[in-house]
Amino acid sequence: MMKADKLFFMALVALSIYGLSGCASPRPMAPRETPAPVQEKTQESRQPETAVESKPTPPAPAPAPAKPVVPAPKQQSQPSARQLASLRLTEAGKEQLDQGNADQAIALFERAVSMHAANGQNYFYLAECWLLKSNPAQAKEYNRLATLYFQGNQQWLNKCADQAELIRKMER
Amino acid sequence: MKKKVPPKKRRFKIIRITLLVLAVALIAAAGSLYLYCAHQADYIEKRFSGRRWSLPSKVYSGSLMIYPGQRIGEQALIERLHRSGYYPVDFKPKKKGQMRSSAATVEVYLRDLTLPSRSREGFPLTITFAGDTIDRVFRPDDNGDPGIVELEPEELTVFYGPEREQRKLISVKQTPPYVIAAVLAAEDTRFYDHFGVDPRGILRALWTNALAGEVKQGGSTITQQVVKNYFLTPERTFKRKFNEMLLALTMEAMYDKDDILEIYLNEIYMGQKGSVSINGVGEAAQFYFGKSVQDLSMGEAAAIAGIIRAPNIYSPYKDLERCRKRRDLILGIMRKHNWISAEEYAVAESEPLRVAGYNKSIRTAPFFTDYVQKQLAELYPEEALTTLGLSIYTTLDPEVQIAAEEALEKGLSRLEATRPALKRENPDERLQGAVLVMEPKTGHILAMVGGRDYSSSQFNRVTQALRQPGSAFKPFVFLAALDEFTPASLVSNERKTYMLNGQEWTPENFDGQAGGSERLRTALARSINLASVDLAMKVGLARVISLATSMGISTPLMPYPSLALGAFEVIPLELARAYCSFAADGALPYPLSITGVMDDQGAVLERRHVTIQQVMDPAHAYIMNSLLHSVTTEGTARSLKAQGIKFPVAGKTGTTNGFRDAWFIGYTPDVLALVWVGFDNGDSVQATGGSAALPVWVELMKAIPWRLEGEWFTQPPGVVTRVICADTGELATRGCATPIEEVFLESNAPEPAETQVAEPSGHDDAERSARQGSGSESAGDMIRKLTEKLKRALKPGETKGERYDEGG
Repeated sequence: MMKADKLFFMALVALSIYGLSGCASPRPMAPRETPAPVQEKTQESRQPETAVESKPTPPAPAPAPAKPVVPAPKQQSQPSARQLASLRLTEAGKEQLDQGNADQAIALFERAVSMHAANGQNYFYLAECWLLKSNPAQAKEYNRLATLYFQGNQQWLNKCADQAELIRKMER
Repeated sequence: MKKKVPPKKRRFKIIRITLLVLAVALIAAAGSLYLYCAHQADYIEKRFSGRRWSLPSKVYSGSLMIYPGQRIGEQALIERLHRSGYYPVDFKPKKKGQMRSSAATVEVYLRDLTLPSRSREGFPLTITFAGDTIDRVFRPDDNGDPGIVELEPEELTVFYGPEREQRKLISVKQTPPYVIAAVLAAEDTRFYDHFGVDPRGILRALWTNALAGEVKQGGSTITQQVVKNYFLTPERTFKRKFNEMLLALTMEAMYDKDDILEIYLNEIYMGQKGSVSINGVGEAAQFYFGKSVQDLSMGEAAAIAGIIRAPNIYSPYKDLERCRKRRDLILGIMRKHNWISAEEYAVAESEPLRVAGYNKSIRTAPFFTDYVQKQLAELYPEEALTTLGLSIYTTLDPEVQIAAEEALEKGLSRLEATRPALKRENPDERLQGAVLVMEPKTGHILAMVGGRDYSSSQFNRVTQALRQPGSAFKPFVFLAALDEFTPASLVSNERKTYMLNGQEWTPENFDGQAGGSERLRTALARSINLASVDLAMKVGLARVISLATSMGISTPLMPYPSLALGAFEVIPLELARAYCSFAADGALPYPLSITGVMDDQGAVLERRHVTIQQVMDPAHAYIMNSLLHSVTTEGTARSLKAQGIKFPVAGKTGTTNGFRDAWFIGYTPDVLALVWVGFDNGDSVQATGGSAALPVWVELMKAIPWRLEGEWFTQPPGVVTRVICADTGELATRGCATPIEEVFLESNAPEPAETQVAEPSGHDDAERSARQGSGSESAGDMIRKLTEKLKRALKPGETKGERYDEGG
């Protein structure tokens, strides 16, 4: 109970400060069409005033949790069997690429994409293959996808940037 | 007075003249014979110097990857192995092509794999199962890990020439000696001893026939049979027989015995598979016993040799017992000539004859192979396809194809059962459907069902049909709107009248209801016509058309308001391909069916790779995936879940005026499938896309679990999440009773007021929240936190905090 009282007191103090700050630098009134948070703020600045003048009103009910519109990512502690199989194809593709067998490598990387489309490495190496085949247009498409799937991985993003530079040179 | 010539001298003179005449005649005859033979030699040379046989080309499916954890059941794998020509044995597989299955284990001796891009030697493999999943894959010879194993493609169809002959070429060097011995025992035991004509054989045949009073035995050697097949008519005249002998002698002079035998082994007629003629011992081994000639047992080799004399009489498919008796006779001859040991003879004679069985029509996925053939026509003349023995490798997944065919048939039959008015007596007028399954990231066509029954209609409704897409066209409108509108924007659901070709046009919603406004997300999910047309008019019809065209729609689209409702016909394949770009981060793939072509010597003639082209940025694609996901969770396809689809799906239904077309196009990051249901003549199917096409899609997906990872799309940069109020479409306020998360393009996402003031534009949400959490808090933030604490203090049971403006 003591804790609640303390918190409530702090809230009152804070609201008072906020109210004062609002007086010091008034914000323009939002028209009805403006985004909701502006209205929300206006209400916040008003409510405490009434609350101070009259008896404390219970706080507004908590809004219902927001319903997501996109499915949550699958929680996976380790790669799926399909993803592992895809990685093996990626490795096989890299071997072919190292030997300069672009067509053979492409076939393997494409198969790897079929089995695990979110592995940026496959796109990166596909771009390498197409560079080897002197086709910068396709290399560019795959470089773009590699960059997309390597978001957050600076090391690979740097590689993608270098690759993009090579593609640009070839295009010229 | 004439001088009298002594009689002795006169006789001598007569003899001399006679001899001279005879000699001249003989020289003339020999010369003529020589000239004739030389002429025939030239003819023979011409016939055999080039391509000896017309080899039909074969179309193959894609290969199957085998690895631990793959969701394919034992039975499905066994069926695939059977279709790929593996034959069961009772023992541990020792030769390529053999397989044995027991409880939860399949042992197989893989054949060599040759594809345009890779090859490998065959090897023994053991696969164990745990339920409907592969548990372990290992090599029984060294217990080693073979890595990911690729199973050979399956033969889908053969492109025959007018003669409709099927043959699998073999060489004498690769043919086991006992197979050759069996053929010689059956047809020509003195083949390696005579010179093309066997006088002893002729005398023996004459004697046998004289005793029998009828023609019981022919005296033809293998060489004579070859020349008869190639150069002569089947009539039985002395002249033809004489010709045959001369040609046989000529041929023997020109070629080695082994060359002649090889021609014979590949040429000889061995039976009939429906309308297709089986030629050569190699093809016969496959046809009768499901094996390559190298894998034939001695008993099977003898049976095949026995068939040569009269395939229609001695075929094991016609009369197994007669075939067995003939086999034993051949084995006896082989033993008599000491070509096989007594032990081998005993084993072969006691061997039961087990035929492989065959389907008259081996054509799998006929609509797909037609589609492939049309594409090949751009590369090769028709004659090349029927004579050059090409191997054409494709993207088709036979398991997906079978699942698609079954799902469509079940779906259509179910519709007819529940709506008897859809039944038609005339098979040409039956309710039809089409299914196309693609891999969105690669454009690989995994399955294509162009109609209900290929035998009654070869019209491919996937590639040739022009049908109105109805609401399945709406995603193009919504995509075109994303730069100006957001998924939370409100669009009018009021009735409006538009001018169309000088006439008024007032669209209606499906349920006839109108009024108010709808968020973009809801408008697409519930497929609201009025809102869609309103949106299209605001965005501009030209922009919608331009976008659809850039996404591969090639059919004419006119800038009429009805465009938004899918009034203009599209080709189903093009529609599916366009949807692929949503699922492929905005990259439009070329719909790929052929991956490579090889000639009969294994040289690669054609190689095709995936080709992609960016048509929208990944952020737009992601927003579309999210909008189309709502179709399956709260919109016209929400019955997916009730029908057992537990993984996230994006999709769109489509229904045209008068229920003439019912569509569903659904996809995940792994696979996309389009289903169309309708009548060719435009009759009503009396059902929507959600009730006619969607169940087919569900049935199909349930049958191909190994193709589905159940993942959702990765959120790309440029997409942010906000909490909005479902009622208003605006950022959620405290009083909002229906807060929902919504995704936005970062470029036009609504910003909370305080961040608009506090933050410069252009920062991403993660940065923003990091900064908010680290430094100077605005008064509003402080209030919010304090209020939170206060609430928690007053309501100890509630611990959930509000979620506002989450970063993307």
